[in-house]
Amino acid sequence: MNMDTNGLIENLTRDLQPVRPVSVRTGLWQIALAIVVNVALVAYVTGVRADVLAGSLSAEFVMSNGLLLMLGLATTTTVIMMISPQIGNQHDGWKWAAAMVCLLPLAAGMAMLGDWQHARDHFGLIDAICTAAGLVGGLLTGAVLVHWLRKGAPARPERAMMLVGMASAAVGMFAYGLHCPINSPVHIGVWHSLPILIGAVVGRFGLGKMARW
Amino acid sequence: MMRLAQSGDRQSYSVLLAECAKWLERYFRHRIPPHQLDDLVQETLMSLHRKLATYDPARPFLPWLAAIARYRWVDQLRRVYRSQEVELADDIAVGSQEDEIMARVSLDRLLSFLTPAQVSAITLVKIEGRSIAEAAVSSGQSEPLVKVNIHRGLKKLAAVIEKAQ
Repeated sequence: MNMDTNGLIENLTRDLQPVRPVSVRTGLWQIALAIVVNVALVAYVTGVRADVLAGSLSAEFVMSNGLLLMLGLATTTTVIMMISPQIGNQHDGWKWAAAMVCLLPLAAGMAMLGDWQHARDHFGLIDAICTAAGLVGGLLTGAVLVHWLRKGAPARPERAMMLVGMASAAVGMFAYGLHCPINSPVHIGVWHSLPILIGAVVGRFGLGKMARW
Repeated sequence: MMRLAQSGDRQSYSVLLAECAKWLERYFRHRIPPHQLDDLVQETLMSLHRKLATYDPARPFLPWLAAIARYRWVDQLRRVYRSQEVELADDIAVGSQEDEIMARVSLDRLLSFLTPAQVSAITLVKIEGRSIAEAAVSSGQSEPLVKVNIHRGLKKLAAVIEKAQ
């Protein structure tokens, strides 16, 4: 070991302050709380659709929003697990949730092929608003995740930020989905899935460097 | 010892860092040009210091340290485009042979995720410090292919830092 390294060790030792180990469990609790607050906030601002308030949920609503919520939970959990690096860690669980959400645009594509005349009605401004609302609606969740990620040491920072983008969009879209009254598979498959893709791309390529250390 | 360090025990921390430095030297020795070794060890120690809180005392220490070391190694390979150094040092017998083997296997596991052409391009250019032209002649690949293999290989290395056991 050379002199510089010895000097560095002396400096680092002098600089040592007690630290509280980051706890994955605390992170999971905090992010769960953030998701609840996030969803409640969006629901409060935009309102909740009447059938949800009445408790008579349609199958389309349960499946589409359920898949988005599952993706949101899977990606947020993965991000929190990434804060502590360890050889042997596997972070692949979110891929299954993402694959399931891919069924939504797939179903939309099939519906469009089957009946384009009706499907084209779902390409208006009001549909696009859902995408924008989904992206904005999950920012609180995204902010909490970024905070945790920057405290941690993710071995794949760009991937972690991509997951932050997906998680934020999935939670935001789930929250706004409680308001959106449209059950059409075309609307859901296109406009409610698009925020996930946008979130992933922005997280990976736009904000990826934020999590580097 | 790490738990004591996290609670602010400077003596334990100093001993721990010294041991980590020795381990890191052995760990990186065959995977980085000699003149970059000290810098990489020191950078890794600083990362360890900055990210001290990310160690979970309920889990083993070495896989955590190795994950940080791998991250810094891959980062170093990505950053350093060309090295003047060609020869690898011969005086490698520091520490126990068992540690040496473990360290080598651990980094070699990362390389096992790459294609032979990618390993060859990265080893020649990034680890041995040869030029792209020299690497192309040595590996039988065209110069653009060497660059592509380095780019794709480093991307793959970054992806398997924690996965490769």
